[in-house]
Amino acid sequence: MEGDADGEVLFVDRPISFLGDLDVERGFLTDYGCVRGKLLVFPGSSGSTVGPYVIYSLAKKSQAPAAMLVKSPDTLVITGCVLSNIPMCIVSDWLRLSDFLRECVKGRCFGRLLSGEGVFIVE
Amino acid sequence: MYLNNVEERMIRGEFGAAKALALKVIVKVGEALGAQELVEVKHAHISGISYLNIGDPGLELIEDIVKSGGVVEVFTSANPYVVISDYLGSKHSDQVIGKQLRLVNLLNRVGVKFYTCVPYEVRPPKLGEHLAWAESNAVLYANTVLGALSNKEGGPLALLAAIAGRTYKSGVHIPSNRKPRVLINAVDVDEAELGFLGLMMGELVGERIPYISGLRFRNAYGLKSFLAALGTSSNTPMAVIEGVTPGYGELVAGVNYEEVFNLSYGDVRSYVKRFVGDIAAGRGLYLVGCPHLSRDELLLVLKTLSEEVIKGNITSDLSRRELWITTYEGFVSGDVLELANKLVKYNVKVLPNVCAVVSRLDLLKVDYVVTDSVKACSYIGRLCKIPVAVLPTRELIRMYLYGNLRTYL
Repeated sequence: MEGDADGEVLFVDRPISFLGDLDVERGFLTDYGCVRGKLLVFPGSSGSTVGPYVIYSLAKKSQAPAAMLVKSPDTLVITGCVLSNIPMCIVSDWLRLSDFLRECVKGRCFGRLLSGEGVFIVE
Repeated sequence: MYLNNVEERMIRGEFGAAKALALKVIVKVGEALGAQELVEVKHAHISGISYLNIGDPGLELIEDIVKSGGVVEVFTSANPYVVISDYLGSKHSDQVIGKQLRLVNLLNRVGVKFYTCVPYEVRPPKLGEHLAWAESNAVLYANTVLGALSNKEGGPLALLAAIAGRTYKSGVHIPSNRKPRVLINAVDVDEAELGFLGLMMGELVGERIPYISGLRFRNAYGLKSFLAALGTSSNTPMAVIEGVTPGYGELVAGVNYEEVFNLSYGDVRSYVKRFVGDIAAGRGLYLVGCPHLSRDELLLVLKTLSEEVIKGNITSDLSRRELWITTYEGFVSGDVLELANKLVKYNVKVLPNVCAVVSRLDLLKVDYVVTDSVKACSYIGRLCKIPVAVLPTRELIRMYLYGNLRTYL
């Protein structure tokens, strides 16, 4: 899903189960906090096929992330993002990005996604 | 991805916003899976329509699709939904029932023709027909038994494919992807064990298409139960079965198998033993019809029940048991309806359009379940956390009527 986005990076180091992990009303991800407006970086999703509906509902309630950067998106994440107009891209070098983010999310860090150019800049 | 002229116009919005959005999602998902083009489908079958599964987020999305003018482009059916009627006086809340019915009304407006998990019993697809089906037992049956072509469409994709009339061409839509990757040399088992065998094989194959050799099916019900169980424990959209799958000889020609499994009768017996357990006492639900019964299967079950009832020696107390038989509504007419009506006083309910597995039986205060379906056993055990036992249909009926609480195995 094309699109550019700016925002704080939220790095999640495990697969997200959209049904169960996410509180749609508050845009709250268990153990990680608020996803609203964030650049959500995660390896993939797990569990229920309800995922696309949950992503859609987040967007309708203005609680959605600004973009999703995913190591290996399944059809459910892609479906959810396209339906909800959320920019989404596949991370080509997950190891490097996750190592880097693991260090820098100890404080807050901000990023910019230019999906047309395939670029993700982290400040 | 290559789009033809009609598809280009559709994605640009010339046929409305709903079709544009539906096709856009299908194209994006297809591109991510490496599909080069789309394929027109003849029949779409939607899953995931239980309000208890998809909740308000699902209702909201389907509502928005209808509002944006979404109607189906091709013949479309959908899975059964939450049981609306009561179980021994316990019902789901008015809110749940109201929202479930709202979902069904929305789907009716989109153009869904009927609600069952066995669309192949109502509109059997032709050999070589492309489908966008999302119910695992139906996908396995269509590919394996009828030689139609369908991937297992996830989430709302089958609904979107119904609206666009197309899906992405990948997976088993491509003939070369229909070749088996693993070989299973099976043994002949009793009909009661077929479901367990399906579950066991599913665990062995994972996502790979198996070639299953040496397995005999005495009737269609056995084959249906076997495939339903296979689809419960695996992700494969099809199996190639010796003597069953159209053109199986060609499909297996020249295949070098990644893995070969030689099953013995002992393997099957020890697998089945894992499921042996005591059934708790209390309020029992006896369940036949997962997957939904065909008209012939339904008639046979009702006749068997009636014969037992006519013998007249039912002395056990039925007040803490119900027997549910789930099926497609079109089969409940004539002699079927007549027999069903006579059995109502024995707490036997023929329930069209609904599914016990997606109905959160724990919320209906069911204490234990007895079913003839390994698929139902597997899901109800996980989703509702209540004890479930599996019995062959005839034994289940006798246990229901005579109240003999013992496990079969």
